[in-house]
Amino acid sequence: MKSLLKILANFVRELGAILLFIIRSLFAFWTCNNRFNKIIQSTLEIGYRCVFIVLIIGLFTGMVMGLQMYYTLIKFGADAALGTAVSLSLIRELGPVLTALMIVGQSGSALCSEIGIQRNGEQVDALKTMGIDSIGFLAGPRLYAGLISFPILTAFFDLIGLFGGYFSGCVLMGLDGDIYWKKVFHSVHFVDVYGGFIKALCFGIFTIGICTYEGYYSHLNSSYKGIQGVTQAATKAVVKSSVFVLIFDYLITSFLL
Amino acid sequence: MNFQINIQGLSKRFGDNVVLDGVDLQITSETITAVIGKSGTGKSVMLKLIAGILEKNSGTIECLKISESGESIPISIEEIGFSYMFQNNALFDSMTAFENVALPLVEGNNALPKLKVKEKVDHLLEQLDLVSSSDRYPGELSGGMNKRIAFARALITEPKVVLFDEPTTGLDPERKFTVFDMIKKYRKQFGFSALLVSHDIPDVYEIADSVAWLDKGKIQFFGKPENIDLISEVSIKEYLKTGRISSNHL
Ligand SMILES: Nc1ncnc2c1ncn2[C@@H]1O[C@H](COP(=O)(O)OP(=O)(O)OP(=O)(O)O)[C@@H](O)[C@H]1O
Ligand SMILES: [Mg+2]
Repeated sequence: MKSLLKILANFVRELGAILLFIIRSLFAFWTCNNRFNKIIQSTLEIGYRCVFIVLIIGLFTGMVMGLQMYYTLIKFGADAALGTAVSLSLIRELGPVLTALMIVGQSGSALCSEIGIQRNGEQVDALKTMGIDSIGFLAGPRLYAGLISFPILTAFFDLIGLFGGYFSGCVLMGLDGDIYWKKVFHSVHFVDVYGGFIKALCFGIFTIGICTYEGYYSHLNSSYKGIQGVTQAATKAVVKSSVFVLIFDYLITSFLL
Repeated sequence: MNFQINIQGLSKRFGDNVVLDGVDLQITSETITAVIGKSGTGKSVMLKLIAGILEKNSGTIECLKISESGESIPISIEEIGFSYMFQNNALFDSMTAFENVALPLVEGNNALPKLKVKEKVDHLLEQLDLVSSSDRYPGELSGGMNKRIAFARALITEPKVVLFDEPTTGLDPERKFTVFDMIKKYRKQFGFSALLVSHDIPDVYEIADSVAWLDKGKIQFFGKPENIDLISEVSIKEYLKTGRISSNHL
Protein backbone atom coordinates (compact mmCIF):
# COMPACT_ATOMS: atom_id res chain seq x y z
CA MET A 1 0.00 0.00 0.00
CA LYS A 2 2.78 2.35 1.00
CA SER A 3 4.76 1.63 -2.12
CA LEU A 4 1.67 2.12 -4.22
CA LEU A 5 1.22 5.56 -2.71
CA LYS A 6 4.87 6.28 -3.39
CA ILE A 7 4.50 5.31 -7.03
CA LEU A 8 1.42 7.48 -7.31
CA ALA A 9 3.20 10.42 -5.67
CA ASN A 10 6.14 9.97 -8.02
CA PHE A 11 3.83 9.86 -11.00
CA VAL A 12 2.08 13.08 -10.00
CA ARG A 13 5.38 14.80 -9.27
CA GLU A 14 6.81 13.78 -12.62
CA LEU A 15 3.69 14.85 -14.47
CA GLY A 16 3.87 18.22 -12.77
CA ALA A 17 7.54 18.60 -13.59
CA ILE A 18 6.90 17.82 -17.24
CA LEU A 19 3.97 20.22 -17.36
CA LEU A 20 6.07 23.01 -15.88
CA PHE A 21 8.88 22.20 -18.29
CA ILE A 22 6.49 22.49 -21.23
CA ILE A 23 5.07 25.80 -20.07
CA ARG A 24 8.53 27.14 -19.39
CA SER A 25 9.78 26.07 -22.86
CA LEU A 26 6.81 27.58 -24.64
CA PHE A 27 7.41 30.92 -22.96
CA ALA A 28 11.22 30.88 -22.98
CA PHE A 29 11.18 30.27 -26.72
CA TRP A 30 10.09 33.88 -27.20
CA THR A 31 13.46 35.06 -25.89
CA CYS A 32 15.18 33.36 -28.86
CA ASN A 33 15.84 35.03 -32.18
CA ASN A 34 14.90 33.72 -35.65
CA ARG A 35 11.87 32.01 -34.15
CA PHE A 36 10.01 31.46 -37.38
CA ASN A 37 12.95 29.68 -39.01
CA LYS A 38 13.46 27.52 -35.97
CA ILE A 39 9.84 26.37 -35.90
CA ILE A 40 9.82 25.64 -39.62
CA GLN A 41 13.05 23.71 -39.38
CA SER A 42 11.85 21.61 -36.44
CA THR A 43 8.51 20.97 -38.14
CA LEU A 44 10.23 19.80 -41.29
CA GLU A 45 12.52 17.62 -39.20
CA ILE A 46 9.59 15.83 -37.59
CA GLY A 47 7.60 15.73 -40.82
CA TYR A 48 10.49 14.50 -42.91
CA ARG A 49 11.32 11.74 -40.46
CA CYS A 50 7.76 10.56 -40.08
CA VAL A 51 5.69 11.19 -43.17
CA PHE A 52 6.69 8.01 -44.95
CA ILE A 53 6.05 5.70 -42.03
CA VAL A 54 2.78 7.47 -41.22
CA LEU A 55 1.56 6.97 -44.79
CA ILE A 56 2.48 3.28 -44.84
CA ILE A 57 0.95 2.56 -41.45
CA GLY A 58 -2.11 4.60 -42.37
CA LEU A 59 -2.66 2.73 -45.60
CA PHE A 60 -2.38 -0.69 -44.04
CA THR A 61 -4.44 0.22 -40.99
CA GLY A 62 -7.19 1.35 -43.34
CA MET A 63 -6.90 -1.83 -45.35
CA VAL A 64 -7.06 -4.09 -42.29
CA MET A 65 -10.04 -2.14 -40.99
CA GLY A 66 -11.74 -2.46 -44.35
CA LEU A 67 -11.36 -6.21 -44.26
CA GLN A 68 -12.26 -6.76 -40.62
CA MET A 69 -15.27 -4.50 -40.74
CA TYR A 70 -16.40 -6.06 -43.97
CA TYR A 71 -16.50 -9.55 -42.42
CA THR A 72 -18.17 -8.27 -39.26
CA LEU A 73 -20.75 -6.11 -41.00
CA ILE A 74 -21.68 -8.63 -43.65
CA LYS A 75 -22.81 -11.03 -40.90
CA PHE A 76 -25.52 -8.52 -40.03
CA GLY A 77 -26.17 -7.62 -43.63
CA ALA A 78 -24.91 -4.14 -42.84
CA ASP A 79 -22.01 -4.06 -45.26
CA ALA A 80 -23.18 -0.74 -46.62
CA ALA A 81 -22.09 0.81 -43.33
CA LEU A 82 -18.44 0.05 -44.05
CA GLY A 83 -17.65 3.68 -44.90
CA THR A 84 -19.15 4.86 -41.64
CA ALA A 85 -17.31 2.30 -39.55
CA VAL A 86 -13.92 2.85 -41.15
CA SER A 87 -14.06 6.64 -41.22
CA LEU A 88 -15.30 7.14 -37.69
CA SER A 89 -12.84 4.77 -36.07
CA LEU A 90 -9.98 6.24 -38.09
CA ILE A 91 -10.74 9.87 -37.54
CA ARG A 92 -11.81 9.63 -33.92
CA GLU A 93 -9.38 7.07 -32.55
CA LEU A 94 -6.87 5.29 -34.67
CA GLY A 95 -5.63 8.27 -36.65
CA PRO A 96 -4.46 10.44 -33.74
CA VAL A 97 -3.31 7.52 -31.58
CA LEU A 98 -1.34 5.57 -34.16
CA THR A 99 0.16 8.72 -35.68
CA ALA A 100 1.30 9.86 -32.25
CA LEU A 101 2.82 6.47 -31.50
CA MET A 102 4.63 6.49 -34.86
CA ILE A 103 6.03 9.98 -34.33
CA VAL A 104 7.15 9.10 -30.82
CA GLY A 105 9.00 6.05 -32.08
CA GLN A 106 10.49 7.80 -35.05
CA SER A 107 11.11 11.39 -33.97
CA GLY A 108 10.62 11.49 -30.22
CA SER A 109 13.40 9.05 -29.46
CA ALA A 110 15.79 10.83 -31.84
CA LEU A 111 14.89 14.17 -30.31
CA CYS A 112 15.46 12.90 -26.80
CA SER A 113 18.85 11.40 -27.67
CA GLU A 114 19.94 14.52 -29.49
CA ILE A 115 19.27 16.76 -26.51
CA GLY A 116 20.71 14.12 -24.16
CA ILE A 117 23.94 14.02 -26.14
CA GLN A 118 24.09 17.80 -26.03
CA ARG A 119 23.64 17.67 -22.29
CA ASN A 120 26.39 15.10 -22.08
CA GLY A 121 28.74 17.08 -24.34
CA GLU A 122 28.22 20.24 -22.27
CA GLN A 123 26.57 22.12 -25.12
CA VAL A 124 23.63 22.81 -22.81
CA ASP A 125 26.00 24.39 -20.29
CA ALA A 126 27.69 26.28 -23.10
CA LEU A 127 24.35 27.85 -24.03
CA LYS A 128 24.00 29.03 -20.47
CA THR A 129 27.41 30.70 -20.52
CA MET A 130 26.43 32.46 -23.76
CA GLY A 131 23.37 33.91 -22.10
CA ILE A 132 21.02 31.79 -24.20
CA ASP A 133 18.04 30.16 -22.52
CA SER A 134 18.79 26.52 -23.18
CA ILE A 135 15.26 25.26 -22.54
CA GLY A 136 13.75 27.83 -24.88
CA PHE A 137 16.44 27.23 -27.48
CA LEU A 138 16.36 23.42 -27.46
CA ALA A 139 12.84 22.45 -26.43
CA GLY A 140 10.82 25.50 -27.54
CA PRO A 141 10.94 25.09 -31.32
CA ARG A 142 10.31 21.35 -31.03
CA LEU A 143 7.17 21.86 -28.97
CA TYR A 144 5.71 24.36 -31.41
CA ALA A 145 6.70 22.01 -34.22
CA GLY A 146 4.82 19.24 -32.44
CA LEU A 147 1.72 21.41 -32.31
CA ILE A 148 1.95 21.92 -36.06
CA SER A 149 3.09 18.55 -37.30
CA PHE A 150 0.92 16.20 -35.25
CA PRO A 151 -2.40 17.44 -36.68
CA ILE A 152 -1.00 17.53 -40.21
CA LEU A 153 0.42 14.03 -40.05
CA THR A 154 -2.79 12.80 -38.43
CA ALA A 155 -4.74 14.24 -41.35
CA PHE A 156 -2.44 12.38 -43.77
CA PHE A 157 -2.98 9.19 -41.81
CA ASP A 158 -6.76 9.57 -41.85
CA LEU A 159 -6.90 10.33 -45.55
CA ILE A 160 -4.74 7.49 -46.70
CA GLY A 161 -6.48 5.18 -44.21
CA LEU A 162 -9.82 5.96 -45.85
CA PHE A 163 -8.32 4.99 -49.19
CA GLY A 164 -6.97 1.82 -47.62
CA GLY A 165 -10.44 0.94 -46.40
CA TYR A 166 -11.86 1.68 -49.83
CA PHE A 167 -9.23 -0.49 -51.46
CA SER A 168 -9.75 -3.59 -49.35
CA GLY A 169 -13.52 -3.20 -48.87
CA CYS A 170 -14.54 -2.11 -52.35
CA VAL A 171 -11.77 -2.99 -54.80
CA LEU A 172 -10.84 -6.33 -53.26
CA MET A 173 -14.08 -7.47 -51.62
CA GLY A 174 -16.38 -5.91 -54.20
CA LEU A 175 -18.54 -3.51 -52.20
CA ASP A 176 -19.94 -0.51 -54.02
CA GLY A 177 -17.38 2.30 -53.94
CA ASP A 178 -19.97 5.06 -54.33
CA ILE A 179 -21.83 3.91 -51.27
CA TYR A 180 -18.57 3.72 -49.33
CA TRP A 181 -17.62 7.35 -50.05
CA LYS A 182 -21.19 8.58 -49.57
CA LYS A 183 -21.27 6.96 -46.14
CA VAL A 184 -17.90 8.47 -45.31
CA PHE A 185 -19.06 11.99 -46.17
CA HIS A 186 -22.41 11.58 -44.45
CA SER A 187 -21.24 10.11 -41.21
CA VAL A 188 -18.21 12.24 -40.46
CA HIS A 189 -19.27 15.40 -38.70
CA PHE A 190 -17.34 18.38 -37.62
CA VAL A 191 -17.26 17.12 -34.00
CA ASP A 192 -15.43 13.98 -35.04
CA VAL A 193 -12.76 15.86 -36.96
CA TYR A 194 -12.53 18.39 -34.17
CA GLY A 195 -12.14 15.65 -31.57
CA GLY A 196 -9.35 14.01 -33.55
CA PHE A 197 -7.69 17.38 -33.99
CA ILE A 198 -7.81 18.11 -30.25
CA LYS A 199 -6.28 14.73 -29.56
CA ALA A 200 -3.50 15.32 -32.08
CA LEU A 201 -2.68 18.70 -30.53
CA CYS A 202 -2.69 17.26 -27.05
CA PHE A 203 -0.51 14.30 -27.98
CA GLY A 204 1.81 16.58 -29.93
CA ILE A 205 2.58 18.92 -27.09
CA PHE A 206 2.80 16.27 -24.38
CA THR A 207 4.78 13.56 -26.17
CA ILE A 208 7.32 16.04 -27.53
CA GLY A 209 7.34 17.63 -24.08
CA ILE A 210 8.11 14.28 -22.44
CA CYS A 211 10.85 13.49 -24.97
CA THR A 212 12.60 16.85 -24.66
CA TYR A 213 12.24 16.76 -20.87
CA GLU A 214 13.83 13.32 -20.61
CA GLY A 215 16.68 14.38 -22.90
CA TYR A 216 17.28 17.65 -21.12
CA TYR A 217 17.45 16.03 -17.69
CA SER A 218 19.11 12.81 -18.82
CA HIS A 219 22.08 13.56 -16.56
CA LEU A 220 19.90 13.72 -13.46
CA ASN A 221 17.24 11.11 -14.07
CA SER A 222 19.33 8.20 -15.31
CA SER A 223 21.20 5.74 -13.17
CA TYR A 224 24.08 5.83 -15.66
CA LYS A 225 26.36 8.68 -16.66
CA GLY A 226 27.34 9.46 -20.22
CA ILE A 227 25.91 7.98 -23.37
CA GLN A 228 24.41 5.01 -21.56
CA GLY A 229 22.36 7.47 -19.55
CA VAL A 230 21.18 9.05 -22.80
CA THR A 231 20.02 5.75 -24.27
CA GLN A 232 18.25 4.99 -21.03
CA ALA A 233 16.54 8.38 -21.20
CA ALA A 234 15.46 7.75 -24.80
CA THR A 235 13.90 4.42 -23.86
CA LYS A 236 12.11 6.01 -20.93
CA ALA A 237 10.87 8.83 -23.13
CA VAL A 238 9.34 6.45 -25.65
CA VAL A 239 7.69 4.27 -23.02
CA LYS A 240 6.29 7.22 -21.08
CA SER A 241 5.03 8.98 -24.20
CA SER A 242 3.30 5.86 -25.46
CA VAL A 243 1.62 5.19 -22.13
CA PHE A 244 0.61 8.83 -22.00
CA VAL A 245 -0.98 8.64 -25.45
CA LEU A 246 -3.11 5.64 -24.55
CA ILE A 247 -4.22 6.92 -21.15
CA PHE A 248 -5.05 10.38 -22.41
CA ASP A 249 -6.78 8.99 -25.44
CA TYR A 250 -9.21 7.34 -23.09
CA LEU A 251 -9.61 10.45 -20.95
CA ILE A 252 -10.17 12.81 -23.88
CA THR A 253 -12.57 10.41 -25.51
CA SER A 254 -14.66 10.15 -22.36
CA PHE A 255 -14.81 13.94 -22.18
CA LEU A 256 -15.74 14.36 -25.81
CA LEU A 257 -18.39 11.66 -26.07
CA MET B 1 35.67 48.88 -16.71
CA ASN B 2 37.64 47.86 -13.66
CA PHE B 3 36.45 44.88 -11.75
CA GLN B 4 37.51 42.29 -9.29
CA ILE B 5 36.43 38.72 -8.68
CA ASN B 6 37.18 37.51 -5.19
CA ILE B 7 36.95 33.82 -4.53
CA GLN B 8 37.10 32.73 -0.94
CA GLY B 9 36.95 29.33 0.67
CA LEU B 10 35.38 27.80 -2.41
CA SER B 11 34.53 24.15 -1.80
CA LYS B 12 32.93 21.50 -3.92
CA ARG B 13 32.38 17.82 -3.42
CA PHE B 14 30.63 15.14 -5.44
CA GLY B 15 29.26 12.65 -2.93
CA ASP B 16 32.26 11.68 -0.81
CA ASN B 17 34.75 12.97 -3.35
CA VAL B 18 36.00 16.31 -2.06
CA VAL B 19 37.35 18.07 -5.13
CA LEU B 20 37.85 21.65 -3.98
CA ASP B 21 38.45 22.37 -0.32
CA GLY B 22 38.78 26.07 0.27
CA VAL B 23 40.08 27.73 -2.87
CA ASP B 24 41.11 31.38 -2.49
CA LEU B 25 41.80 33.35 -5.63
CA GLN B 26 41.48 36.88 -6.89
CA ILE B 27 40.98 37.91 -10.49
CA THR B 28 41.44 41.56 -11.40
CA SER B 29 40.95 43.49 -14.64
CA GLU B 30 43.20 42.73 -17.55
CA THR B 31 45.26 40.03 -15.95
CA ILE B 32 45.95 36.57 -17.21
CA THR B 33 46.19 33.89 -14.58
CA ALA B 34 47.43 30.48 -15.60
CA VAL B 35 45.91 27.68 -13.56
CA ILE B 36 48.09 24.62 -13.45
CA GLY B 37 47.77 21.33 -11.65
CA LYS B 38 47.64 17.61 -12.09
CA SER B 39 44.88 15.97 -14.05
CA GLY B 40 41.80 15.44 -11.91
CA THR B 41 42.58 18.04 -9.27
CA GLY B 42 39.51 20.07 -10.06
CA LYS B 43 40.64 22.80 -12.40
CA SER B 44 37.63 22.38 -14.68
CA VAL B 45 35.34 22.15 -11.67
CA MET B 46 36.73 25.45 -10.41
CA LEU B 47 36.00 27.20 -13.71
CA LYS B 48 32.49 25.73 -13.80
CA LEU B 49 31.81 27.02 -10.30
CA ILE B 50 32.94 30.49 -11.33
CA ALA B 51 30.76 30.34 -14.46
CA GLY B 52 27.78 29.20 -12.40
CA ILE B 53 27.41 25.90 -14.23
CA LEU B 54 27.94 23.91 -11.04
CA GLU B 55 26.64 24.77 -7.58
CA LYS B 56 29.25 25.30 -4.91
CA ASN B 57 28.97 23.64 -1.52
CA SER B 58 30.46 26.52 0.41
CA GLY B 59 32.57 29.62 0.00
CA THR B 60 31.93 32.85 -1.82
CA ILE B 61 32.48 34.16 -5.32
CA GLU B 62 32.10 37.90 -5.22
CA CYS B 63 32.21 40.07 -8.34
CA LEU B 64 32.80 43.76 -7.83
CA LYS B 65 32.77 46.64 -10.23
CA ILE B 66 35.25 49.31 -9.24
CA SER B 67 34.02 52.76 -10.17
CA GLU B 68 36.22 55.75 -11.02
CA SER B 69 36.03 56.98 -7.46
CA GLY B 70 37.29 53.65 -6.18
CA GLU B 71 33.93 52.54 -4.90
CA SER B 72 33.16 48.84 -5.37
CA ILE B 73 29.69 47.79 -6.43
CA PRO B 74 28.63 44.13 -6.40
CA ILE B 75 27.57 42.80 -9.81
CA SER B 76 27.24 39.39 -11.40
CA ILE B 77 29.78 37.76 -13.70
CA GLU B 78 27.19 37.96 -16.50
CA GLU B 79 27.05 41.70 -16.07
CA ILE B 80 30.81 41.94 -16.34
CA GLY B 81 30.55 39.92 -19.58
CA PHE B 82 32.22 36.54 -19.60
CA SER B 83 32.71 33.58 -21.85
CA TYR B 84 33.81 30.04 -21.31
CA MET B 85 35.88 27.83 -23.53
CA PHE B 86 35.11 24.24 -22.60
CA GLN B 87 37.76 21.59 -22.34
CA ASN B 88 35.85 19.37 -24.77
CA ASN B 89 34.87 22.37 -26.95
CA ALA B 90 31.10 21.83 -26.56
CA LEU B 91 30.42 22.72 -30.19
CA PHE B 92 27.07 21.95 -31.79
CA ASP B 93 27.41 19.08 -34.24
CA SER B 94 24.46 20.23 -36.28
CA MET B 95 25.97 23.65 -36.96
CA THR B 96 28.84 24.57 -39.25
CA ALA B 97 32.02 26.09 -37.89
CA PHE B 98 30.74 29.50 -38.91
CA GLU B 99 27.37 29.01 -37.21
CA ASN B 100 29.03 27.76 -34.05
CA VAL B 101 31.23 30.82 -33.78
CA ALA B 102 28.34 33.12 -34.69
CA LEU B 103 25.92 31.55 -32.20
CA PRO B 104 26.49 33.98 -29.28
CA LEU B 105 26.08 36.92 -31.66
CA VAL B 106 22.98 35.55 -33.36
CA GLU B 107 21.17 34.34 -30.25
CA GLY B 108 22.53 36.05 -27.17
CA ASN B 109 21.16 39.12 -25.46
CA ASN B 110 23.35 41.34 -27.61
CA ALA B 111 22.40 39.94 -31.00
CA LEU B 112 23.81 41.84 -33.98
CA PRO B 113 22.54 42.35 -37.53
CA LYS B 114 23.46 39.60 -40.01
CA LEU B 115 26.06 41.51 -42.00
CA LYS B 116 27.88 42.63 -38.92
CA VAL B 117 27.95 39.06 -37.59
CA LYS B 118 29.39 37.78 -40.84
CA GLU B 119 32.06 40.43 -40.90
CA LYS B 120 33.17 39.74 -37.35
CA VAL B 121 33.12 35.96 -37.60
CA ASP B 122 34.97 35.91 -40.92
CA HIS B 123 37.62 38.17 -39.52
CA LEU B 124 38.21 35.95 -36.52
CA LEU B 125 38.17 32.74 -38.55
CA GLU B 126 40.73 34.19 -40.87
CA GLN B 127 43.09 34.95 -38.02
CA LEU B 128 42.74 31.40 -36.81
CA ASP B 129 43.41 29.91 -40.23
CA LEU B 130 39.90 28.44 -40.44
CA VAL B 131 38.38 30.18 -43.47
CA SER B 132 38.42 27.06 -45.64
CA SER B 133 36.57 25.08 -42.95
CA SER B 134 33.94 27.64 -42.11
CA ASP B 135 31.18 25.71 -43.92
CA ARG B 136 32.12 22.36 -42.49
CA TYR B 137 30.71 20.60 -39.45
CA PRO B 138 32.69 19.84 -36.29
CA GLY B 139 32.43 16.12 -37.04
CA GLU B 140 34.35 16.67 -40.28
CA LEU B 141 37.17 18.62 -38.69
CA SER B 142 40.23 17.64 -36.71
CA GLY B 143 40.52 17.97 -32.94
CA GLY B 144 42.84 20.95 -33.23
CA MET B 145 40.51 22.71 -35.67
CA ASN B 146 37.58 22.23 -33.33
CA LYS B 147 39.65 23.61 -30.51
CA ARG B 148 40.27 26.76 -32.51
CA ILE B 149 36.58 27.07 -33.36
CA ALA B 150 35.75 26.86 -29.67
CA PHE B 151 38.42 29.47 -29.04
CA ALA B 152 36.86 31.75 -31.63
CA ARG B 153 33.42 31.28 -30.10
CA ALA B 154 34.77 32.32 -26.72
CA LEU B 155 36.28 35.54 -28.07
CA ILE B 156 33.62 36.62 -30.55
CA THR B 157 31.55 38.48 -27.96
CA GLU B 158 34.54 40.53 -26.79
CA PRO B 159 34.10 39.43 -23.20
CA LYS B 160 35.74 41.03 -20.19
CA VAL B 161 36.47 37.74 -18.46
CA VAL B 162 37.35 34.58 -20.32
CA LEU B 163 37.60 31.18 -18.68
CA PHE B 164 39.82 29.07 -20.93
CA ASP B 165 39.88 25.38 -20.14
CA GLU B 166 42.96 24.01 -21.86
CA PRO B 167 42.77 26.12 -25.03
CA THR B 168 45.97 24.73 -26.51
CA THR B 169 45.86 21.03 -25.64
CA GLY B 170 46.22 18.99 -28.80
CA LEU B 171 47.42 21.83 -31.01
CA ASP B 172 50.64 21.69 -32.99
CA PRO B 173 53.39 24.06 -31.76
CA GLU B 174 52.67 26.64 -34.43
CA ARG B 175 48.93 26.77 -33.74
CA LYS B 176 49.59 26.75 -30.03
CA PHE B 177 51.61 29.93 -30.33
CA THR B 178 48.96 31.43 -32.59
CA VAL B 179 46.43 30.90 -29.82
CA PHE B 180 48.76 32.27 -27.16
CA ASP B 181 49.55 35.26 -29.37
CA MET B 182 45.87 35.88 -29.94
CA ILE B 183 45.15 35.78 -26.24
CA LYS B 184 47.92 38.32 -25.77
CA LYS B 185 46.72 40.49 -28.63
CA TYR B 186 43.05 40.43 -27.72
CA ARG B 187 43.88 41.18 -24.15
CA LYS B 188 45.52 44.37 -25.35
CA GLN B 189 42.69 45.11 -27.74
CA PHE B 190 39.67 44.43 -25.52
CA GLY B 191 41.35 44.38 -22.16
CA PHE B 192 40.00 41.12 -20.86
CA SER B 193 41.02 39.02 -17.89
CA ALA B 194 41.59 35.36 -18.34
CA LEU B 195 41.72 32.34 -16.16
CA LEU B 196 43.61 29.90 -18.29
CA VAL B 197 43.93 26.24 -17.43
CA SER B 198 46.88 24.77 -19.21
CA HIS B 199 49.32 21.90 -19.15
CA ASP B 200 51.63 23.72 -21.55
CA ILE B 201 54.38 24.49 -19.11
CA PRO B 202 56.49 26.58 -19.45
CA ASP B 203 55.02 28.07 -22.67
CA VAL B 204 51.98 29.40 -20.88
CA TYR B 205 54.22 31.47 -18.59
CA GLU B 206 54.97 33.75 -21.49
CA ILE B 207 51.49 35.17 -21.56
CA ALA B 208 50.52 34.75 -17.91
CA ASP B 209 50.85 37.53 -15.39
CA SER B 210 50.53 35.08 -12.56
CA VAL B 211 50.33 31.38 -12.00
CA ALA B 212 48.00 29.55 -9.65
CA TRP B 213 48.90 26.02 -8.76
CA LEU B 214 45.94 23.93 -7.68
CA ASP B 215 46.63 20.82 -5.68
CA LYS B 216 44.74 18.86 -3.02
CA GLY B 217 41.73 21.12 -3.36
CA LYS B 218 43.55 24.36 -2.64
CA ILE B 219 45.59 26.98 -4.45
CA GLN B 220 49.02 26.06 -3.12
CA PHE B 221 50.96 28.69 -4.97
CA PHE B 222 49.95 32.01 -6.45
CA GLY B 223 52.48 34.42 -7.85
CA LYS B 224 54.60 35.45 -10.75
CA PRO B 225 55.63 32.70 -13.15
CA GLU B 226 59.31 33.32 -12.57
CA ASN B 227 58.89 32.63 -8.88
CA ILE B 228 57.35 29.21 -9.22
CA ASP B 229 60.69 27.53 -9.74
CA LEU B 230 61.99 29.07 -6.56
CA ILE B 231 59.66 27.33 -4.18
CA SER B 232 61.06 24.21 -2.70
CA GLU B 233 58.00 22.04 -2.16
CA VAL B 234 58.57 18.54 -3.42
CA SER B 235 55.15 17.96 -4.95
CA ILE B 236 55.29 20.99 -7.22
CA LYS B 237 58.80 20.12 -8.29
CA GLU B 238 57.53 16.71 -9.25
CA TYR B 239 54.52 18.14 -11.07
CA LEU B 240 56.63 20.59 -13.02
CA LYS B 241 59.13 17.93 -13.91
CA THR B 242 56.44 15.76 -15.44
CA GLY B 243 55.02 18.86 -17.08
CA ARG B 244 58.35 19.54 -18.76
CA ILE B 245 58.68 16.04 -20.05
CA SER B 246 55.25 16.03 -21.61
CA SER B 247 55.69 19.44 -23.20
CA ASN B 248 58.98 18.35 -24.73
CA HIS B 249 57.20 15.45 -26.28
CA LEU B 250 54.75 17.62 -28.22
N1 LIG C 1 29.82 16.10 -12.77
C1 LIG C 1 30.65 15.43 -11.96
N2 LIG C 1 30.16 14.46 -11.17
C2 LIG C 1 30.98 13.79 -10.33
N3 LIG C 1 32.28 14.00 -10.22
C3 LIG C 1 32.83 14.95 -10.98
C4 LIG C 1 32.05 15.71 -11.90
N4 LIG C 1 32.86 16.58 -12.54
C5 LIG C 1 34.09 16.37 -12.03
N5 LIG C 1 34.08 15.40 -11.11
C6 LIG C 1 35.26 14.93 -10.34
O1 LIG C 1 35.99 16.07 -9.94
C7 LIG C 1 37.35 15.82 -10.01
C8 LIG C 1 38.06 16.94 -10.76
O2 LIG C 1 37.66 16.94 -12.09
P1 LIG C 1 38.12 18.05 -13.12
O3 LIG C 1 37.46 17.76 -14.40
O4 LIG C 1 37.91 19.38 -12.53
O5 LIG C 1 39.68 17.78 -13.23
P2 LIG C 1 40.75 18.65 -14.00
O6 LIG C 1 41.66 19.23 -12.98
O7 LIG C 1 40.10 19.59 -14.91
O8 LIG C 1 41.55 17.55 -14.80
P3 LIG C 1 42.10 17.57 -16.31
O9 LIG C 1 43.40 18.28 -16.28
O10 LIG C 1 42.27 16.14 -16.64
O11 LIG C 1 41.09 18.23 -17.15
C9 LIG C 1 37.54 14.45 -10.62
O12 LIG C 1 37.88 13.56 -9.60
C10 LIG C 1 36.20 14.12 -11.17
O13 LIG C 1 35.96 12.75 -11.00
MG1 LIG D 1 39.80 19.72 -16.90
